[in-house]
Amino acid sequence: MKQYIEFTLGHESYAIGIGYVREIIKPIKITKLVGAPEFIKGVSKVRNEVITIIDLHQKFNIDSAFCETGESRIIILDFNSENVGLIVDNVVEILESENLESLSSIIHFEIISEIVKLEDRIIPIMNLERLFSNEVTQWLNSE
Amino acid sequence: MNINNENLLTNDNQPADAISHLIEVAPILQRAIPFDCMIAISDREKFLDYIPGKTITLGDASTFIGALVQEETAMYQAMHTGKDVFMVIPKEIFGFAFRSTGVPVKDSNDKIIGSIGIAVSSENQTVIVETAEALSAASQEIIATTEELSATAMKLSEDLNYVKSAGEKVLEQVDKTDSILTFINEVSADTKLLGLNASIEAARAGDLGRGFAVVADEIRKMAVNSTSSVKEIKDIINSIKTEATQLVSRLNETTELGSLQAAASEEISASMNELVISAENLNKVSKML
Repeated sequence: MKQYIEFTLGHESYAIGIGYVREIIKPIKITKLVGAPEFIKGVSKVRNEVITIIDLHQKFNIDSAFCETGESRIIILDFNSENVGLIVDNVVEILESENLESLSSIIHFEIISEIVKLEDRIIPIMNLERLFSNEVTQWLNSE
Repeated sequence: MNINNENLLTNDNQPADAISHLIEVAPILQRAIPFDCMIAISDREKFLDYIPGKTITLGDASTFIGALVQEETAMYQAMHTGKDVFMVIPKEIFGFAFRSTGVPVKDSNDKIIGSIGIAVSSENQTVIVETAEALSAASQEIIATTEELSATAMKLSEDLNYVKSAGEKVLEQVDKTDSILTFINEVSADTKLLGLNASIEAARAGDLGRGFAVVADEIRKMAVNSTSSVKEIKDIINSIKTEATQLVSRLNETTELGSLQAAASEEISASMNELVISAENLNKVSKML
């Protein structure tokens, strides 16, 4: 049984393997970095560590004004000793499923490569390795 | 017949003449008197003549003529005291109330030779007196009731004001609960987060974390329960708020009504007092008739 954290960006739900998540925190003070690309919001201090905070709303074309519910969270990712926090609009719950399906590789630089199937819905799984790959990072850096 | 006074005084038959003059004049007098009356004329012992009235009558002439003048009558009293007598005969004795006079008739030697009595019905007066007394009594009762009403209206007014301010206090308290609910919501969100992070740690600990995973699940359940409870509570509180607001506004209206009622009772009381005074005046006057 694999476990995933389900979260929302805009009106869409995504899942991420629980092994990639270190912690979930409430929004905190973000120190802006001059000259950084749009998707990098800045840096924050979490438990005595400096975390880079990223926000995928603009790149995914999501109007974040829609999402001011007071439930936004930062998922702190644990990947290859990268200290990255991802801003999400809501952390929904923990999913458990063995029911996965792979998607065609032409989608989205393979950021979404798999889908988890539940009783009443399907949720795309965000692939961190692809998210932090060079191609994707270049894409994220571009206008 | 000579009606010359001088002749009467010197005539030997004079004692009977004054009486027989009265007997002769009585019928004319009775018709001339502008209210219904009966007339009786007697010598020193017995009735000599009786003229019944239309409504005031004790029989016809034959029942009286020759009958003894009873001791209780005004005529008897007049003859035996030598003074004019006025009596009020109550309803109980003859079935109707009347007022009668007895006047002694004297001869030239100042000797009493007989009497004349005239009686007038006091039915009307009796009715007036009884009505005035009934009115007086009724007015007194109404005053008592009105004073009670007034007092009750005042109390009602006070009670309403009290309930109204209690209702306003309820609204104040309800407003305070808003901030408490917000706090609970926050705690709920924090609990959920705690639960999620606990689950994450449990997953990282692999097999060793299984027990902790259970704890984490329970924590998350707590959070879900809190959130739905908070929603229910918020709904309940909102309906309390609505009801209390309606209550207060309805009480405002009722309080005004209460005040108006109290004022109106006061007015009624004042009018009743005047009415009582009139009724008592009427009573007094009616007894003088």
